[in-house]
Amino acid sequence: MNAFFNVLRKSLPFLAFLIVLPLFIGRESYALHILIMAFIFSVFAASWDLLGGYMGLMDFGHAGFFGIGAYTSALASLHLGVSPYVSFILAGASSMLFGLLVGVLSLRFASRVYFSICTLSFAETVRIVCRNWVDLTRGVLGLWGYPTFPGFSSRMSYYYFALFFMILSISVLYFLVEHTHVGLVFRAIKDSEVVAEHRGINVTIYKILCAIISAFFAGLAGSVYAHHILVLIPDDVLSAAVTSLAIGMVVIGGRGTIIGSIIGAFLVVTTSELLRAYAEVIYNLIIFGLLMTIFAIYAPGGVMGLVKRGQKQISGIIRFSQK
Amino acid sequence: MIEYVVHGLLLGSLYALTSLGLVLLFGVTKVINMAHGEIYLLGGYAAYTISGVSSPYLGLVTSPFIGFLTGMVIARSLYFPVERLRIPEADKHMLFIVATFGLSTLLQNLMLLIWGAFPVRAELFLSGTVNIFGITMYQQRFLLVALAIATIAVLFIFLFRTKAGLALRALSQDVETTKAMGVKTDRLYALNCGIAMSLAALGGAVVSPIFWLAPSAGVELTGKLFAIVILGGMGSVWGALLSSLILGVVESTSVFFLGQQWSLVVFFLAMSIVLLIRPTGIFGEERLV
Repeated sequence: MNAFFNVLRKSLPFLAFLIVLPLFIGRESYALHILIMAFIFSVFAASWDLLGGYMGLMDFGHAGFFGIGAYTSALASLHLGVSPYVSFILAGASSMLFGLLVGVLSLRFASRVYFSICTLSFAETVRIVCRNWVDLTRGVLGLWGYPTFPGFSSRMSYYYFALFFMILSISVLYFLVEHTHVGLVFRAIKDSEVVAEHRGINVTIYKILCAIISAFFAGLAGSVYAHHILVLIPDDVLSAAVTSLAIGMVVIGGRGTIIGSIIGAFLVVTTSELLRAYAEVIYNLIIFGLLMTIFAIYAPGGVMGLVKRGQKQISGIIRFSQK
Repeated sequence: MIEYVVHGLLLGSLYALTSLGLVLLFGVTKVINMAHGEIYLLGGYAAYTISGVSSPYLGLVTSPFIGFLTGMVIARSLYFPVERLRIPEADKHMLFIVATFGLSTLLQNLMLLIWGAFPVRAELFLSGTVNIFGITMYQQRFLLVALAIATIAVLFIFLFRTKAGLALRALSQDVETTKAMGVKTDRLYALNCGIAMSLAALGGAVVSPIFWLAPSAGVELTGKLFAIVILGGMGSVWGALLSSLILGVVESTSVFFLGQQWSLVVFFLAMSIVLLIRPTGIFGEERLV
């Protein structure tokens, strides 16, 4: 528990900076929108990291869970007439349900490849259903006209809402993987399934549990996204590009460290926004795909790993010079 | 009704051609290629461009070469570095799969940049029809079936009648023993990767005058190919062939009843049912649980 609060204490300056930032850059500034997206994608990427980094299960359809969360939240607050706070919970719940479905389909086997395949097809299937079920989702015309969270209609208030959402979700995820028995089991299974099984762990159950938790947070992030953007288009929230954003953020930031996905999300969202001033989005995506490939192969630890290696070398030089 | 079966077999032969690449890759290296649909599109676009400026037959010949080179480059620059990392075996495969997923994003947007978002189709270069057993077929479509059968036959001869094919099959069973027999496994991995990609590219090239090509269609095709591979049993060549034909016919009849846009949903349902009832697929023998 103490170690957990230590990490929280270390991140306090960063959080304080984010809290006072809107006071300096204006209440309706576009930069706030970018930061809101960075918060949302931090949670989304961290939920991917739970599966990809801690469990070694590569989810290539994470956008499916994100999009299901977004659409559930929007549709529930539009058609059922419930408060967006209720639909926020519903979004997490429905994503969990689909996480369970995909998990049961594909996680019962020894080969982890099945999960990758199933999630990819799952997300594409959800995208196609959303595109073509025009009566419900309005397809490519876009779903709009649903309310945002009551009391958070201005951009600055939504900024604080998203910030609070990120802090809470990341804390829960970080605490879960680093300081609970469940997180230990996840890492044990990643290192060696056979050994974990010999210690009496039901590997399949824990894998499915991991998929459900991950889908839950992805769904919540989708809901926060939906009530921020207020227009949902299937290709925007469900395409493979969204999944590749999450994966790229984690791979660039550092796999298997929830903190790395925050770094990755902030790096990717802000730099792609800055680059947009100079070139078309498509160049962004090309560079992004290239970076993702290079990082996955040549720097599997991501930016976090590179920083750690740099620190080690510098401290080695210092120690050497002191001798 | 018979037209739907014929069209289904046509689709099936395309699926057989492209999915065999995935089967080879999984069978030998135990990895999957998330960019397979994009390689298929790359082959198709290459053939489209070449047939625009030169002979369409040149495009048909060049595309597989482009695919082969891409595969070699992927093996050399992505697969070998991953193999050398000192991490658990399963984690290596996962890193490679992530890298190919990045590659799919890269290729998809590169194609979007070069050829634009609007679907394109090459000119038909065979306009007549052929008549086989009373079924009339466009020559262009017949070429697809004929080329698919010929290529698969050559592939089978390669796999089951040559020394390199023998080494590949050995490699899929036991890496250490194969190495001990003096086989240069690195070259084989690269060759295998090249063949896998060239099959996908050839598939794209052959259908470029028949179906529309669009950069965003790659992911959907990858999803369909995986459904085929799972239905046939991961790593089973015969299973992939049979399930390609089955799912091709299923798709063309489902297009009749539901419409083109739902075909991936049908594939996903088929895959789900297979995974629930018989996860080893039609011909799979691998112990899964």
